[in-house]
Amino acid sequence: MDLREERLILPLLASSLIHVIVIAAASSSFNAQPRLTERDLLRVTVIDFAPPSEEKSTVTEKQTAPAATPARSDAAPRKLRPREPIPRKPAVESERKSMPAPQPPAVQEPSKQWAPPEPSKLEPFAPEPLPLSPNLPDATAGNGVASFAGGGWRGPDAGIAPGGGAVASSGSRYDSAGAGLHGQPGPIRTNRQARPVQTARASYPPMALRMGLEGDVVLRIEVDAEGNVTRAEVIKSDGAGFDEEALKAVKQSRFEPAEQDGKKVPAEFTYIYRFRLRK
Amino acid sequence: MLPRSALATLLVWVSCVTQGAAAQGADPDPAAIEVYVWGQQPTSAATEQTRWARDLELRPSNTPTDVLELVPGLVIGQHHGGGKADQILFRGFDSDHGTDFAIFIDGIPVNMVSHAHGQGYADVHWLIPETIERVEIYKGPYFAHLGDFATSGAMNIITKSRDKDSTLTLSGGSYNTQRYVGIFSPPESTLLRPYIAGEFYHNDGPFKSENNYNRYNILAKLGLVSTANSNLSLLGTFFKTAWDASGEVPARAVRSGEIGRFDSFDPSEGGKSERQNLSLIYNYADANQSFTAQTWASWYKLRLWSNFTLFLNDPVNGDGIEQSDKRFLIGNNIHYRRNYTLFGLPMETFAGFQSRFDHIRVGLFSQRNRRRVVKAGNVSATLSNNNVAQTNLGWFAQQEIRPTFWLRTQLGVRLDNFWYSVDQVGNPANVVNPVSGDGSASIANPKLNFIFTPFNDTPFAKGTNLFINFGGGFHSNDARVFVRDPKKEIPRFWGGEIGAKSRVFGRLDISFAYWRSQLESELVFVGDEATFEPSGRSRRHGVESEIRYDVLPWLSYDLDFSYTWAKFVNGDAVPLAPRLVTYSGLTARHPSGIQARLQMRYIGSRYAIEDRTIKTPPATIFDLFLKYLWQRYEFFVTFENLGNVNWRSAEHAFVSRLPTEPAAGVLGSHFTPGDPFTAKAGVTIHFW
Repeated sequence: MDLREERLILPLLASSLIHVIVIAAASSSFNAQPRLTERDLLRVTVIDFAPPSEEKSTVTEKQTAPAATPARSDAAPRKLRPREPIPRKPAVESERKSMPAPQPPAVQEPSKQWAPPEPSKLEPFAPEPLPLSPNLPDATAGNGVASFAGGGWRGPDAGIAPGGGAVASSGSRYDSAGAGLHGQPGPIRTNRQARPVQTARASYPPMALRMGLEGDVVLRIEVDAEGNVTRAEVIKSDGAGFDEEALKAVKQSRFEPAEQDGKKVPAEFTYIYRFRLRK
Repeated sequence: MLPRSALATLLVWVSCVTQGAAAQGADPDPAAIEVYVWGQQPTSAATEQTRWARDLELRPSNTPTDVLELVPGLVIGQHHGGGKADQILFRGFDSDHGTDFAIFIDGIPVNMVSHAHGQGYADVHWLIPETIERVEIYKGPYFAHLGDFATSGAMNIITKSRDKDSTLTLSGGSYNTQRYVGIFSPPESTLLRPYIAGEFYHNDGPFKSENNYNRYNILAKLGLVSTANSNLSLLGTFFKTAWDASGEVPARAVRSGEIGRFDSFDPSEGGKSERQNLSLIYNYADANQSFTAQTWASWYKLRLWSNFTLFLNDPVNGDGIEQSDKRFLIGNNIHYRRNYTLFGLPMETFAGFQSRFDHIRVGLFSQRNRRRVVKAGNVSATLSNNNVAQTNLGWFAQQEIRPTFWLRTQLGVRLDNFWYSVDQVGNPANVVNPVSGDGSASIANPKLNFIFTPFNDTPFAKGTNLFINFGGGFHSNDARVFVRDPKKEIPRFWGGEIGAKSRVFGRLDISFAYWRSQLESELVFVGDEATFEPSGRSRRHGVESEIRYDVLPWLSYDLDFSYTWAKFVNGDAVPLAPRLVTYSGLTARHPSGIQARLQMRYIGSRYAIEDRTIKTPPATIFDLFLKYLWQRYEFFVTFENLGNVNWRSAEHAFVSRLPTEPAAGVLGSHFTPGDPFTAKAGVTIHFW
């Protein structure tokens, strides 16, 4: 390649200069941010808000008009980022009011906890553990971390809505447990959901990788008072080996058992594996 | 002031509403724990990759052909008013309109065999860019499942089966550009899972004689059967377009001031085209095997009026030609893949069958102002007019073995059979270049890929792979040449490549490749004259490198670089083959909803002619794309060619004659100017 002939020298110099600037800018921010390098980032979402009280019926008709507007304006951006937990925003916001701002260290600490480095088997096909890069879909990159550090994790403990002070994960499987607590005043610690302490890393099924397939597997799992998975059942299955990998991984996982009134109790809940290709 | 309890109740109610909306979606239980598992698709070559719609969103895209520039090192050029298939310049080939680059959309081949304008003519205008889910990019002939035209490379564009929501996009801008796109994608549970998209595009271009380019597109998909492991879907597309063109102007006439860059000597140039496709695809995948069966059928029409040499052959009527192509084509794809263990070694077998049958009426006529006229020295206005029937069967098998944990080997073989039949339409005495005859040929090609994973993952570098690829490939020849060719052979193309790929510091993706290739001599059909000419053996080699760097969580930088040496074995340059091509961009996706991309395209100087006496000027073009998400609206603004530089979108060197020039004509460069500074703006509205 004849540089003079191509009149390349100037563009090359300019290009190198731009590269240097970009890399310098990057490296200055390089150590600034703690980066999650675990692939199995967990996003636990628990809805906390004031208990549905008798007032509900009386105000309903009044709300129809004004409430519809914020609801819709919330729903609109959600469409652009389907996995973003915007529907739960009101709850999360109410939590934030009542709890300290999320601190960065909180992000790192649990990530060490529940994702032990599993020695990678001799499986060149198997996906390598992937770092959480900003190019990943929204749900994990920004929001996954935020909801995890800020709200989701501690939500059940600290997330007490101003009015009521009880956990009403309406629609969840804890209704029976939570029902008796409605209306109790003051901050109480109760009904903490079982949470994973040691998740076995699910591997991406090789055939799905080959075919460029993504999948969602919805499992219903039972965790006993010791935190062992006693039963796991697929309630929404997906092909290409997703079910098998999800079941295999969840059966090897360990959980911190659910608590009710300070006692460890067996629990049943829904666990979703979302297999996504790095794009 | 509202009482506090009312406020709380309001909050509950809002939560219930939004939660109800969520329950209708995918989440069956709002308290569910979600775990994301990230996968990286395995590749067989350093340059093989899959690009997702996300990469397209922030690239200024006038036409669907801009998708092609997702292939690092590939440059497209348009020289006919926007409606014609673009020139594809890639890996040392001026692939003309797709002679050496195979394109598929959802498995349906886009390239046309024995086409009126050129072998392999690949018109992707029937694609709506918004419907793209992903683009699989293959470079080189190392892939067993790719056959005809996949010499320098191939791409398979896969369209979405559903979108996040239904949208309407309205946009417009410079040179009377208008574009309207509607996408209808109801929730997943809807009966038959319809996915329907429609597009209308209009553009006049910067030319004195307006392009008046209109394009109508409809794509519809139905999911007939859908289970966890399998699905059966039906795809139908409709495409119709018409345009006027200003053609390529002689550089000497522009230099002398005789005409302007955006003028035309023959404003009657232009064309119209249509294509309809139907495709039925069945997919099955479980943990150990996958199976795909597809049948597709297309109806295609093109009429193209052009005038390249101006007044060289006929000083009175001019050298206008009409190329006409009308065809029905149908084909099948069957792929089967299975993972298993044999002798204690993990293996994968991949086998398949492809068929394609083309029934074509293809003709070349002389014209003036789009009316057929008999030119000086000819017996009729019909230069050539044939019925062509052409069948291609392709068989392939590939065995992958993993003898150790750090090595994957893929050994493949592919056999292609061709049958040609060419009949003359009408009395051969009334045709300037009568052709008829039959013939058949076969070609078998080996494919070899070695993928090494010598390094364990470290915090420094992950997913480091080394690649060695080798393979044979081919492009079929035009039936009208093949039946006259005494050898009746398909010229073979050999290619080899070494490459490496890695992800460093968890934020920097690097890939590098050095490749070599060689193409046997062949007879090339000259579509503009209905004659053929020999083309010598050629050799090419080059380097390619790609960098993707996540500078900040919301900011990423990309750089594609390629340099190619291409020449005939006798020392001549391969005309118009790209040499230095650089594509680089800075993409921002800020959480505030602002998204932006600033990109640079650099196309280095190329030799326009074998003896290297004419060179094309290099061009550097900057584009800027801005987008803002606000609630259910996406506002976007595009500025192309920010520097307003004069550049040439397409360029060719040949002999032409202006009315005032001597009868022998003048050899020189002819070009179609690239768009000057162009601004466009629009909005996308998301429904429910």
